[in-house]
Amino acid sequence: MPEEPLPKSRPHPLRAPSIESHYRNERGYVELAVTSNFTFLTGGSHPDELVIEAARLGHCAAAITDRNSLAGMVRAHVAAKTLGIQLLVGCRIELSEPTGISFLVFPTDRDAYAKLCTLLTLGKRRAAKGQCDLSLHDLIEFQMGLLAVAIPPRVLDEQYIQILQGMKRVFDDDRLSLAMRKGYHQDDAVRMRQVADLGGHVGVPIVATNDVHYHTPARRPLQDVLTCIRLGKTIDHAGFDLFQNAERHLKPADEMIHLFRAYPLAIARTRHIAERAKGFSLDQLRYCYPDEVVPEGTTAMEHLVSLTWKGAAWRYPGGLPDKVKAQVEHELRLIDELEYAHYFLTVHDIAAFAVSQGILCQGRGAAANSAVCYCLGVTAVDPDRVNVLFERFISKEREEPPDIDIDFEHERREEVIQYIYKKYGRRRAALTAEVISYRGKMAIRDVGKAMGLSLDLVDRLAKELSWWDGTDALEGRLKEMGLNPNDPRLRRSLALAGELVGFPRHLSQHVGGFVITKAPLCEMVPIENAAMPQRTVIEWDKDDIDALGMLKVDVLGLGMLTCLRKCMDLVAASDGERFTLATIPAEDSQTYDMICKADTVGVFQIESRAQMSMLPRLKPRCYYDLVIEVAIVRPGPIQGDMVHPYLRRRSGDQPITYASPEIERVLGRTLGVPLFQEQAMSLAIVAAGFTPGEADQLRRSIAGWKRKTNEIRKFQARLIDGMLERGHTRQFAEQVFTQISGFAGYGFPESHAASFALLVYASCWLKRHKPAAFAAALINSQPMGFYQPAQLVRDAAAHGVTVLPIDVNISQWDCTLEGRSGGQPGSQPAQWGKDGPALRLGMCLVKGLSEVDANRIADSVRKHGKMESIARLRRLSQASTTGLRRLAAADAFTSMGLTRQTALWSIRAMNDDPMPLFDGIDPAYEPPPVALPKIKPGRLVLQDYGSTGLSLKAHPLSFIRSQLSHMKVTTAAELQSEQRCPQGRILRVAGIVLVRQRPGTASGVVFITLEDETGSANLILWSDVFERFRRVARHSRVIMASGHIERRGDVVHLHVRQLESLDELIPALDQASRDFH
Amino acid sequence: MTRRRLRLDAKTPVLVSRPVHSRAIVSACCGVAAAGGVFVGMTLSHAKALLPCDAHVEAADPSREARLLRRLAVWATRFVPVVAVSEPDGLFLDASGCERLYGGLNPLLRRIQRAMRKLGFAARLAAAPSWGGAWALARFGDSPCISVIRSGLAESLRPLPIEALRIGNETVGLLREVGITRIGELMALPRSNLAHRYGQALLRRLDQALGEAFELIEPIRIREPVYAERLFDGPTDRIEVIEIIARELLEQVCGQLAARESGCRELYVRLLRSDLAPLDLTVRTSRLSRDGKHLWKLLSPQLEKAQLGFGVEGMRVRASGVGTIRHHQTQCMGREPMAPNEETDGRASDPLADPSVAMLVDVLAARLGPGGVMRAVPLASFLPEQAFRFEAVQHLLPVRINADVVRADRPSMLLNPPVPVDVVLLRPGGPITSVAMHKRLLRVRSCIGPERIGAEWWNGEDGDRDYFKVATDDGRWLWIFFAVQRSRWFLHGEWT
Repeated sequence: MPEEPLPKSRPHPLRAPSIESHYRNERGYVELAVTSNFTFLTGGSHPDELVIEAARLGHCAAAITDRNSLAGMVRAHVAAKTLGIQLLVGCRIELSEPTGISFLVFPTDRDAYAKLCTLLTLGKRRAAKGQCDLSLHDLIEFQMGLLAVAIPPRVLDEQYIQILQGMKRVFDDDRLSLAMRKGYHQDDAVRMRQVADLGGHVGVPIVATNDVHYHTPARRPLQDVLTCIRLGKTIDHAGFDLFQNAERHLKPADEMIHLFRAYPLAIARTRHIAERAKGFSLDQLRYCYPDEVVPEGTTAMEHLVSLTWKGAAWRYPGGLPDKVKAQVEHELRLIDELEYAHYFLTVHDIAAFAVSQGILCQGRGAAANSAVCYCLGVTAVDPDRVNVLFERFISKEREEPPDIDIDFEHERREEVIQYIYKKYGRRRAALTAEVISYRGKMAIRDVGKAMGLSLDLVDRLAKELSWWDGTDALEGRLKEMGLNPNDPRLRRSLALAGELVGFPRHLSQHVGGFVITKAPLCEMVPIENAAMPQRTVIEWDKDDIDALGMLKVDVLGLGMLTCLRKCMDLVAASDGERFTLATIPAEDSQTYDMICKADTVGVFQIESRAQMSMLPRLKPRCYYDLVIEVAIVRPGPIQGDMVHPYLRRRSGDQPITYASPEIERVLGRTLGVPLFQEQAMSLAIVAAGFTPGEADQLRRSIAGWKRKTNEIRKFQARLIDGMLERGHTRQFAEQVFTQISGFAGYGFPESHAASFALLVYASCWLKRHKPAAFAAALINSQPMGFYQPAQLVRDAAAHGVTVLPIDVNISQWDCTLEGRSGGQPGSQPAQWGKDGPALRLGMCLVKGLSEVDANRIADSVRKHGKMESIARLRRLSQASTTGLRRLAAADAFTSMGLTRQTALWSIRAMNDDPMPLFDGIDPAYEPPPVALPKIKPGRLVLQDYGSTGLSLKAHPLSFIRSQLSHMKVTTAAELQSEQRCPQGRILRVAGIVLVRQRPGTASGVVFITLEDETGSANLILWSDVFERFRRVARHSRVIMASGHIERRGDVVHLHVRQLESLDELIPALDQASRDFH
Repeated sequence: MTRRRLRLDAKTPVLVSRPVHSRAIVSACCGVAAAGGVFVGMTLSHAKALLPCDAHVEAADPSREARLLRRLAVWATRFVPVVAVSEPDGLFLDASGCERLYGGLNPLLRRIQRAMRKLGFAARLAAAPSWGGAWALARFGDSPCISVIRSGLAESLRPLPIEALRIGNETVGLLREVGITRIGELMALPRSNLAHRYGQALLRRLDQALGEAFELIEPIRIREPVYAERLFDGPTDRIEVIEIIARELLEQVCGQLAARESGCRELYVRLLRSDLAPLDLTVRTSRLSRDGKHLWKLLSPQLEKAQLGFGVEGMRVRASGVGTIRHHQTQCMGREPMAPNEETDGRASDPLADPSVAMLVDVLAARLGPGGVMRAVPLASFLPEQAFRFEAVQHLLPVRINADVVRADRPSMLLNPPVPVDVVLLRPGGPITSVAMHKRLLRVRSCIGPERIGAEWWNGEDGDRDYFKVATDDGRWLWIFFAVQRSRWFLHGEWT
């Protein structure tokens, strides 16, 4: 009998190779039981790998049947479509009642697919997250149009025969088959005979499968390790939980035919099932927009046009500028042509709801910065102010719906989400999933544990090798760590970890991506419970949704919007002036002056040390400069080495040249240097002749951490050749490639930068002109940003704002403003807030105080007026003694003439029992004072820090200033003066550590900001200095640093050479700095 | 102690860590580490970063430390009769009435301190008229060795921090809030105010420290060892005499064990020989036992072989590994044996759980010497040669058998290593037709297979094996495999 050609690279001597051909189509085979890695921690190959391998082996079709899931189906579908092979959409239903019984099911048409999705949704919705609870009855209920393959359990008992007989009646019309497998076990022959007999007895045809878990036998080790991870065992102890051999891979049709030579009909049956499953493909899922947003009697486009012009009239009360009018008309034409009217209406509906509730929102992303969106109120970026090109964000070629993300106030986003659920119903709206995949650290950790490496070693490997991409210099790294790079177990573990990177681990919910459909969503895709109560998530992630062209709106939360809304509310209450994002005066030169000086503590985005050090160099003077500023301090531009060329060109040190006029069109607005992700794409199209589709693939490979970070290298040859062909020099071509691959780390799209820049400008304007309100709003929106209340308060005070302490008789829960704006504020930074309202700190700063207690106290003060004793306050407000105690610890009883010490002493005598019976007799009774020990002022300040994180009395450092002067320490204020501290001088500063930052891109440079009683000082630690003084740099709260001064404009840095901890001088300073954002 | 045990040099810092919420916290450190800035309560990684060289880190073991403290308490009874443990790190010694034996309190303190140092402990001692006062002074006093008389007690406590009062951290924090940090400041405040605010416990502790309130301690009680001894009138080398004495001593020990409802796992027998060093014999059992006959069975072969020299002058028997034996009723009214008390499912399947088997094993082990009795333990591996392991049963406690036995049909005899053979195949991959063994060609009547077993790649092995079960025409069932990697055939076993 002739033998088959072999799939393995190494010929298996048991099967002599032969020249018999593949070309026996009548002998074709389809593997039906295929577990991909979307059966998490079970399958050993990606769905697309399995499809590609099936096509390569010449199977008639490919199938994916994950356990109770369709999560990997879209990926398989995309791969199958590219290869032109049929994909059987299917699923392995594992029943929980009776247990251990499973069926493969394949829909034959769209209706059957809807049934399958509904069935899975049913099972998932009644089980815990990630699980599915289905009984035989459920399957029977939803069987219409499904083909089923019964997978026999290990023991073929009477009960199973009965189930099979019952199922045969239910799955009439020859839709049921019985799976038979040859797994190279000892009892194969017996087992196959038993299954065949059972099939014959019940009258169910036999079908051949190989229960595939990976596409090639080389994945067996990885699959074994996955099993170990799933079961929490080590490989040495996994024993019989692993598979006995490496046979569960896709085998060539001829090999399968040979293995089942005794049962030829079982092979034919696979083709039969594939043929009948042809009736359904994922392409049939035509997406339909929900039509609630269109009122009856009009079309979507008509409605959009009327809304847009109505909005335009509202936005431009003084008449529509011609430029904007032309723009709106152009965009509307394009929207009409591409049929995106529904999409824009949906987005508008959500934004309009937010506006009606007073929730601040701001759209961003492709298409959001259009004139139409401005008119619809989705964004506040005035098209008159920036030169946006709609086509830049929407391309005709890319058949994808436009992408609009909407940011909402983070504290109120939930209201918007609940609105969407309410409007469209849970059957039609759900969050998209996010596939959580293995990244380096996690992969090393899990594989290391499964391989039985010691936990200590696993920790070290994960820490040291997390960035490692599996290519270079591993040996060196291991040697550095003192490990033997030739140790086989270690090598094997690392290789497996590298293979595991990119494997999906579990499904999580996307932060805010909503899918909304016209028909019930559960007929398109299974829906499962999310970890959060009251949330449901579909099984597909946003790439899958994109691939199928479904509508998606990202509803995101942004802390700064909360802060801005609170700030504008405070301004409205205190000054009577109501601002919105769109009405904040544009292009204010005083605001840009402040930005150029890097005086940006607390504002949006440009408050980090890296951003702050860029500001004086970039000197933003207009809105578009801010767009660039937001995008430029990102790993992408920094790694692509685009920052310095841009700065040089901007300052005129370098001529601005373009390789060709087309390139000038692309890069003109950024002086010939690509800074945005879109520019990288356009560059690939213009300079290297990519089609938009290819450019989009390039974008996808860049955008996220896809499977391998170096996927982008695939495009290298294509890109460089393309550019050489078009007459560019090789040097230029390589430079462009470096720049584009720089975006692989993290690039920022212009469309997002434009939206962010508006928030940057708004927050800067408020900081410049309403410093008290801005500081109050920031503190009330904590936690957010880099800075803590202490620094925000200090910054406000430095700008002339009067800051008043927390007091039970005056403070609310939130910080409030007292008084109104007086005369004209001065132009010096220290006078900006001088005549403005004062900032009264709120009780939210008191550690451990509940909001309920604070509100009770504030209410009773409002009702009964100022309180003169604690007892009265307690009686009238019903606040808990714990709350009062916390307030006393925060020294908030000064208006009663009590110090922290005396207040605590009196409250200590109270307890939470019901009010004293005799309170009517002597309400003002206070026990006679006792002589308590005196507390030193330094200690008082530390107590302030302990209970509120800041002190208005004095700075802790002022108590050790004499010692510091003795050590010749310069103050932060002196550092600012150029005469005393010129460029290059070596000196010492000391202070409390405010912020430690180590930007991922700055090659190990660490920024530390110190604060003393006069101001703050910026330290820069190069990595060698950081390593040398690691212990101080990482852990000390109070630091003394010496080094030399670097001045750049008004920004002063100290390049540190030595560090010393002063922790002992200020003991028990229990204040955590914000470390390493 | 640790330093001495592990022979660390004086510069290596020693840290003891304990896990708190999945973080490692320093729970104790040595002087070297403390000098480097380490304090109790900081995270271990922080502490490691502070120290210039690699520190020796040990996990805290509270139960071990408690045992050690108890042993130290027993040891301290050599100085005074009444000793109490003060968890977690102190001892109370009642020296009243003992001073005179040592020539005063101070000589006694110095003596204890010297002895402690010899043991490797840096101890702080204080003698005071109240337990609380001594506790405070020992921990917070300015010298490691203090002795105070009643009239000076209040004065010497005044400057100590309030932590010295043995009050909870919470109370300490509350007092510190209002500026009270020293015992003196507390003493200055009106008592009614204190009790009202901080509870009676604070006042009680204050009074206990000042010796104005009564305090009870719980002295340790020392457990007598299970021990029997007999000194002979003169040396004898007559084995019968020695045997009789030995059995008597065994009976005594068993009697003592019975009185305590316990049994022992080990028995140390020491023969004092007139001209040679004492001879030590050890008897071990696999279960707790106080069965004199059984123990004698184990001891007698050793005695027979013992070198007596010129004679034995005495004999001591000491039981070790003493534990309480739980009684099971085995008979009821002389009828029906009761079902054995199955402790756990795993153990029930272990043959050693059967007392008679355990006794047999003990006897065999005593006769054959250590490692003389083995048993096979199944392991979870597809590879037949790794699917079991032999373990010595000598003084082996009953083990839990976790592993499943491989489900497939396996031969009763396994060849290790496998023997290379030559086979003739009907066709490639097909059934085996004949096997060449011992230069003889055996025709194969039937052949089952192949069963493919994957290599244990994690142990660096490579290559699958294809196993065939073949029946030869002389009636033997052989297990033959093909090593794919090496492309060779082997005989691996046989059903006999």
